[in-house]
Amino acid sequence: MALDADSPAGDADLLARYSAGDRAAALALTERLVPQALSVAQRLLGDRVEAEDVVQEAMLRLWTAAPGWRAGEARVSTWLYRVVVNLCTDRHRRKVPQPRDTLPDHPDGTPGQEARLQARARQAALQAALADLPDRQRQVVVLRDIEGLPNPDIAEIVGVSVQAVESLAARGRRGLKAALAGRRGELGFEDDG
Amino acid sequence: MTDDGKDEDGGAEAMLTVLFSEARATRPGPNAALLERIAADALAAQPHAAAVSGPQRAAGSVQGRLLRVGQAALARWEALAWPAGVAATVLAGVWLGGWADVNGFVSGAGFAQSGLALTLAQGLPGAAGWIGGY
Repeated sequence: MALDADSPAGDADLLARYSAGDRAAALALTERLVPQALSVAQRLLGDRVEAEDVVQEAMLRLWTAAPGWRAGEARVSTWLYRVVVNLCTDRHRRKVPQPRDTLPDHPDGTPGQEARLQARARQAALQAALADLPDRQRQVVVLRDIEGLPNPDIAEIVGVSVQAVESLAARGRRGLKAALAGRRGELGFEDDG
Repeated sequence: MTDDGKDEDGGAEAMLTVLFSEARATRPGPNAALLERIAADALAAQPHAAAVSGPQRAAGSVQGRLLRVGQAALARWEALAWPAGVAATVLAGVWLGGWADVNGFVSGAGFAQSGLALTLAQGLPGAAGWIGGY
């Protein structure tokens, strides 16, 4: 769900209060916006430290833009996610491919441990498959299928039409399925098919 | 697409649904250090912080200027006393002249030609200086 879907004017009001000198408004905005922005950044980059840097930079740009913010032009959250997505795109293009997360060689075999390892392996596989998608497809899949944003918001964030969002989402999902097809058994999905 | 293909796609779709659901459930939360850095940025970039301190500094400057003016006036009290002394002397002269005219001691024309007028003309500047502190 969009971060400020229940109060789209709430973020803009907080930003105006921040601009007028209200320090509590800055803290409130941080609490409202940062968790989902961080989630988006981490999914797009696959790296926690880089995701934090991106979110901090995006928030700094928000603070800087606050005095000139015109209510009604754009939702604060949508604007912020657009900045996050763009910063992630820049970093993703500069990024040197890193070794994929792998399972430990000798799991201890306890049920809880196995389940945690299975869950970790699934998320690592999803992350790896996402990383191999083209930028736009990865962005749309993350924003729509993981973050649950509506298509019009995604269109504004990514800078494409709503129809393009639907097309990118379909292609992205097909790409993920193809990338994960050979790992279904490994990831514990063999019996589900 | 064959039935097998549909089944296979259905399985893949179910797999994605599970993976997305698990991803939503394991969203990373921001740690305290990140929130502190962002809050510090917010306070550093807060425009009104400068705007608030501006007027405060400006108010202080006005008060400071008034204080400095007062101190300068006190230090240069003679600068205020001299024009006050001149004004007092002129008023005293006018009053004395009027009193003499009314009481028949001198007429206006007669006074202007009298020795008293000459004495006052010579003495008033000195008296003004004396009254003004010079």
